[in-house]
Amino acid sequence: MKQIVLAFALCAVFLLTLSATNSLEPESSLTKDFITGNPEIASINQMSFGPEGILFLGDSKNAHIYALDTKDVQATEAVPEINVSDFDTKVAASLGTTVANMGITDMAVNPISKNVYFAVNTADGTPVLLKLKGEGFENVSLKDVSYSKIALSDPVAKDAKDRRERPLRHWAISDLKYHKGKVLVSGLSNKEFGSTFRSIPFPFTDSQEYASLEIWHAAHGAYETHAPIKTFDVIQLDKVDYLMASYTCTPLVLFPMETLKDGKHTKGRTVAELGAGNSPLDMISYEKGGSTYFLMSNSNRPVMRIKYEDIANYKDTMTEPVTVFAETEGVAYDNLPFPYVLQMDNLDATHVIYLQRQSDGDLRLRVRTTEWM
Amino acid sequence: MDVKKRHNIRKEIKVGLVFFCLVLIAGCGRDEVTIEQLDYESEQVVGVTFTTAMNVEQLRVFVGEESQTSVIGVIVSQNGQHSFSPVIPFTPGQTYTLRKNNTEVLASFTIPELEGIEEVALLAIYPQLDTVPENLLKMYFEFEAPMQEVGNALDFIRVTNETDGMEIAPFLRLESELWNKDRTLLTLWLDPGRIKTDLIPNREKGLPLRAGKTYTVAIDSSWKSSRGVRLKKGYTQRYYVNERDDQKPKLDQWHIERHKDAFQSLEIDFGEPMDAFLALETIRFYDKNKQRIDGRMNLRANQSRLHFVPDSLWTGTEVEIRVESRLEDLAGNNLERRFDRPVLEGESAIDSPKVLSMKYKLTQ
Repeated sequence: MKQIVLAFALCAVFLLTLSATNSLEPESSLTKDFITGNPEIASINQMSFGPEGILFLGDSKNAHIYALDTKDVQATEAVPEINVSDFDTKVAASLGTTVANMGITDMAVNPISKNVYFAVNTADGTPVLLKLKGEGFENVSLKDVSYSKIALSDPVAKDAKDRRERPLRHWAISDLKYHKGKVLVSGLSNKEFGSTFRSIPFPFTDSQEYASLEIWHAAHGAYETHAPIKTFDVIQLDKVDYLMASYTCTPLVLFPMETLKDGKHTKGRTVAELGAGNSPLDMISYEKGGSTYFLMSNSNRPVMRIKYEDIANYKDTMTEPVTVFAETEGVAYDNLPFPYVLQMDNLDATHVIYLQRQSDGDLRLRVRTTEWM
Repeated sequence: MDVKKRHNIRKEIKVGLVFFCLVLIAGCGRDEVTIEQLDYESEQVVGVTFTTAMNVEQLRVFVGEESQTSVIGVIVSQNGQHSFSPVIPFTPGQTYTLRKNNTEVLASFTIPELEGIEEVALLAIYPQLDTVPENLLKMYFEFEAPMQEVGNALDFIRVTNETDGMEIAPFLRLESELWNKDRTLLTLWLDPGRIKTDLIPNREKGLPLRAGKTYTVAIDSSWKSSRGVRLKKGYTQRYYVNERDDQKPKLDQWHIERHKDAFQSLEIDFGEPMDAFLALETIRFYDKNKQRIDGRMNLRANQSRLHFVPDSLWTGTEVEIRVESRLEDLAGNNLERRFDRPVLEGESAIDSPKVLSMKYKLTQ
């Protein structure tokens, strides 16, 4: 009997110790100010993972950036086998509707768990966040989550004499990325021809910095600051971080990250002009055989591949007006045989996941090793 | 085998058969599902309530009879009834099946089509004028009600060069479309890379619109509102394209006059059509004490005049008119810079928002 009592006592001590250990587990400094509840997200236009399974969502309707604690932090090294045909039909069916009533707005891979997330817009405007599970999906609640958020405030006219003169601008979020403690956000105006680029410290505080970016239109032979950024990525060349921005007017421009400071005016280095009738969609980078490559998917052209070395070695700034008709300018790129790639992300260091419209109309989600890219 | 033993075996078989039938009947009964009602919220079907004796864990909801992908949702059981709620409301007109183990259809239900919801009107296409410059930068489409958030707006808009009889694609296709928050106003840019002289898109494809030609912008009536209702009809707007506008709007050339109406309203003549929405957002009126004068504004004369009616009669002898420099004309030229600038002309390349000011003597 004594032995039984002793065993129970030991178990109780063990459980108490375990519970005490759990409660003493250090809280993440990134999520300590998060609250749990309904953030009332109105739309998901762009999304990107940060550290510790935190998913950043760009909501153009509410003009907010949300940080969601997905708690999806079970690390895995295994690369999931993914090859899903009729992808849009399956997404629609899992939501109880048809393809005509929904649209996939973005895809993001959690670098820790390798889980793939999809932002879906539905006809009535309800935003949905889905996690891929085999060939099916799991709904990620947007109504009962641990989150923090920040409103995208407008840069105010420096000589505005009256708060009521504050411009009522609406910036559609064109891209969003997390980089070294900051959420970088590019936005397009729905009124005047304009663009903003912000750098928002995370965890969110009240501050957000506006960078004034100047680009050179080689063909145009002129600088300008109001060209709108379509998509961007952060790349490292010679151990220096650069913002690589692609504009609606097709130049590809590099800005040193350390110069992107509040109110500071930064002149970019245009490294390529990518031609007409095309919109860049996604940018990713990967390493292969000791070299780093940069991939860009496009609305109307195949995936383009550029070698980092070529960008690094392209020391020139395209500052002279282009004179030869239809000449491709700047860093050389390869067209990969992957047209109509609508979403693209790194699955891990050696695999890329992409959503591609096939020639027969099928929308297919696939994983491909970078060895063949 | 003796007769008694044979009889016993028969009896056992009979008992066994009766038991099997009872189990089968009971089993069949348990696999029945009865749809009790559709659950409404804000006129949308957000769930379906059903009764069954079977384990609801085995049940899945599917779109129609063919789909193999089950609808994500939760089942809440209460008082012998079960309610399935999908992530988004069920789609009007769609039939759904409740299946056991993804295969056996046990029940089905159809969501009624929307009734009594009026079709949506396209209120206006901007610019609201017949003639536009060759370097027209953007167009607005204003709707009566919020529009659907799926697909691409450009799938419902066709532009035809009537002069040459060919369909053209002048607009820039954006992944994130430029809607207002209510989703009643869409902004479309004519491809800026094609408008800016000598940019590669401009050299490859040329200007989206050409001077001297006539174009028709047609809106397809199949474009749906966020409630799934089509437009009232198809809409068209015809434009004649004039020569390009490479001039900045000049504040000092604006002409202001006071009407002799009851409110002594003011009218600013810009001398050219301005962006319909920016004109109403960027111009404000102040009294001599720097207090904002509230009032109603509207555009007249092909967006080239702004009419301002103050809420109360003017006080003092002077009014200050403040204009944000981001105000643009139809070609995207704003008060600080032209949209398409020739090489290095020394014009400010930096867009720093400013507020410009001009005075008007009310005694004029």
